[in-house]
Amino acid sequence: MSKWWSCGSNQESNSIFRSEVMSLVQMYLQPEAAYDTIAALGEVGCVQFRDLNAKINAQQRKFIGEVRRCDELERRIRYVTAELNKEGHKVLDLMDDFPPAPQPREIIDLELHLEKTETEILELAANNVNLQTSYLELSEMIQVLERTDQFFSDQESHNFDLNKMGTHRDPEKSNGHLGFVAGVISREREYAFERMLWRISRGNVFVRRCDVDVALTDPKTGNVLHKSVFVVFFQGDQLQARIRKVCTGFHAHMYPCPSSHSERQEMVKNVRTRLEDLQVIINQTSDHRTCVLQAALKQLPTWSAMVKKMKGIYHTLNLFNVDLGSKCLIGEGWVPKRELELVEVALAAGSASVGSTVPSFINVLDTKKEPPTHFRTNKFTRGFQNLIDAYGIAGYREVNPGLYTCITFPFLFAVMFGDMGHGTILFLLGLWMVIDEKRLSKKRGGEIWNIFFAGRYIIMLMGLFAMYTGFHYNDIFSKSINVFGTRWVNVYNRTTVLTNPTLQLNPSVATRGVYPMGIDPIWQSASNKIIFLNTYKMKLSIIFGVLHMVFGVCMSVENFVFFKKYAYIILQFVPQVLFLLLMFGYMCFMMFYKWVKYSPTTDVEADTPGCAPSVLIMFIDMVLFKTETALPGCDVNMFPIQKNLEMIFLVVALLCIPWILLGKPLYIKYQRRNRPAGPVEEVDEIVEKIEVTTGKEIIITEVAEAHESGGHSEEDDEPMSEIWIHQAIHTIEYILSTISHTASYLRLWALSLAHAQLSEVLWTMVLAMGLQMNGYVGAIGLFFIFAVWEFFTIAIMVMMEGLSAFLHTLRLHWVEFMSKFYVGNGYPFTPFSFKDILIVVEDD
Amino acid sequence: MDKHVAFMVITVFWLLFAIIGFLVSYRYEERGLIRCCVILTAVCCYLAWMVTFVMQLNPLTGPRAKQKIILGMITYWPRSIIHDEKDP
Repeated sequence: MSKWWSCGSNQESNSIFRSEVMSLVQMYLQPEAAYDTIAALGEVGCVQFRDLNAKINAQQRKFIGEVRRCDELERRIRYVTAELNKEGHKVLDLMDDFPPAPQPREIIDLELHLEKTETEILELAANNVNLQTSYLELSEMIQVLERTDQFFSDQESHNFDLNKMGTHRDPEKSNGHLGFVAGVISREREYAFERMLWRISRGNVFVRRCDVDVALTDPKTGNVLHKSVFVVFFQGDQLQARIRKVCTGFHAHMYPCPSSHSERQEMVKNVRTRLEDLQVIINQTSDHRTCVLQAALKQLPTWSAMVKKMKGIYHTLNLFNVDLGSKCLIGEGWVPKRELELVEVALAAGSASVGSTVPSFINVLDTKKEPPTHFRTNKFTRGFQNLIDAYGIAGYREVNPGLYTCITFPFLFAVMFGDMGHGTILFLLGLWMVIDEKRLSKKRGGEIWNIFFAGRYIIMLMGLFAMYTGFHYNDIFSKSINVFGTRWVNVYNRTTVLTNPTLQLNPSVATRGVYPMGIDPIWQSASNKIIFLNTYKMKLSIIFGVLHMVFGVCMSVENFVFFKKYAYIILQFVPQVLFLLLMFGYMCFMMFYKWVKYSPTTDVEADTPGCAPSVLIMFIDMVLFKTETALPGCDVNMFPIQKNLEMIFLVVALLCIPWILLGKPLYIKYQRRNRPAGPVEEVDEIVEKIEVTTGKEIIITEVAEAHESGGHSEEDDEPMSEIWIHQAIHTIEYILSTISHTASYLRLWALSLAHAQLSEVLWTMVLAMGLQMNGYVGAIGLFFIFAVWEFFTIAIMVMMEGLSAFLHTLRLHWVEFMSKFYVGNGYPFTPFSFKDILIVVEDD
Repeated sequence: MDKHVAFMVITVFWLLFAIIGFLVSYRYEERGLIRCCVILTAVCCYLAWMVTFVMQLNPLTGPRAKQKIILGMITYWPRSIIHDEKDP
């Protein structure tokens, strides 16, 4: 599938009726010009390279070293991007205005630059961890010094006279005096810690504990730590050693703590000074890191684009064959025929940029391989083509249903969604996205927004057609509008009107012509509205369904003519379309004939409304050879020769079944019998002698790869039994699907009915309540009730119902329409294009 | 009589829409696409209109309306009147 920025020539009419004509080209590139040539082709984006080194694994290809270097550069870019994200800076990829692909020598500078930036950031990160560790230790020491005040006041001061510097160092011996150890421990470990101390000392220690209220931060992870200050009082030197081991085992940090108040105050002052100095250093380090990241931030998107381009180029060069003898690179690729000139220009530009005296050139090959499918879509057709491609990619030069889907899709959606009010909302949404598309195309709204934006033309057309069908259904938020003047009049007199709660108007005397466009507005107020609209919408669905299917079957003629299978027009198309028309086309005829023939004002008694037969019952009687009993004064037939005609139609339709079943296999059998004696062994072998300016001859032999498709028509290789089986399956599928698909189109009526009824419920249950309120309170209430009604209108009627109708329309196209002619066994054209590589969909 | 006029006017409109659209498409590069869209639009819209029109050409049943609706018709729609003559 083409992209909108793909360059194009004006040689042919731009149409997506068939895929582009493709050429297989063979490229001969000079090694010194190869890089620049591939770079130029990447900018143009119209070559899909084939892999000539499929048997060589990725690690053994020629340019794997360069690819690895690009990988390393990308890793560094990702690392710096991650660091920037931590700082709160979002690195946005470029959406347009991409830099050109860098020269290989320019990458050396970029490598040095990125290496320097990464190294600097890594060093700053390590320094930051060290600084944060020191900061944490000093913070904990402050907590120890401050919170131990309450502990020491509980003890006698004379016990500490000989231990003024605490026992974290070797104390002097003193019998009968208490020693202590102070420190900080994690809150989740303190109970186990206390229990262990109690156990090793056999209950001879005294532990005091206090929570640290200030939030502390882990230097490595940045997580918040919850810790407690503890002091352990003990007696004797042996206990001291054990207690210190337990503290170490529980990862508790011990800090020096003087026993006298004045010394603690002095130490607190010193530690605070050191903390302030450390904070200054931390801030300076952080500022420096921010400067480094900011310097990288501006250039990072450009670097990322450059590295991606370079990596794409080397990946493409790895698909080439390296002819060491003649020192040239040989590659093959698919090119749209209209763009061969662009490829030649790119090759010339690549050679000129390095001043190469030997030109690179291309050779157009004849091949039986199946080319990829390429449609030159524009911003309007791309959305519709995406719908078709989601079902299957068209085969090469196969008829593309995407062209007709541009109108049939929004129209069938509108038949289901018909409502002027909701259609207007949908239309305005699409119109906004279309009018403002230049600005919105740069918006990064995530995947769902991208889907909606890509379908903006679909949405606009769906809304527009929904307004049209809504006008014909005379339905605007479940209310009707009397544009042309209703054609129904009241003819009852005063007594009749006043004495009857319900009256039904008689069509023979109460009508004054035909409402010119759409449904007469009186029906919106009638209590038998649903019955009336159901008959109308069912018939509308069947008529459109049959026409849609006939159109699909007729498309197969286009394929038969194009691929020169003229016999299949007689053997496949004619019986298929005959079956469809004789059965269901006749049903549509009966619908129209009934509308025209039976009239309430007729003079013929057999043509009065009471005698009007049911079309469905007549159809069933036709198939089952039954005859209904006519009511008195009525005629069982709609027209004189109806029974005979139906008999003929049914017989011919039944004859079409063996016609479809037997025609094609017998034809193939006949063709094979009359084929020249012996199968022709065709080897897809290209032997070319090319004399380059160096004077050396190159003999290139290419044998078709066995695993690739194409080469022969599939039918030529298939055994007859397979052909019979396939044709039997196809026949059964077509006959049965004609019946089931006709019934499937009734969903047009079903969804339309559901939409109308939901809209009416919303009106009567929500907004009508507000309109019935009185006074000023009613006005205020109506304000809020309208908001509720509008919310439900958009959320349910437009979004949910719209999505439902969209999916049903999609099924009608994929299954009911495209199954009549579409094979869809192609594969997409994926050219080597820098824009495809660089434009990524963000998921956030 | 006015049914024939309506039929003729709408038919001519969509016919002209298709023809003029067909001619205008020659001025554009994507004439195949424009031509296809114009003709398909004309066919679909005309068909939707025609089915609706023909369906109401000879109504086989009339609307059943409540007394309130009948009185509304008499009040707002000028063709409906209240009278004391016999019911037809």
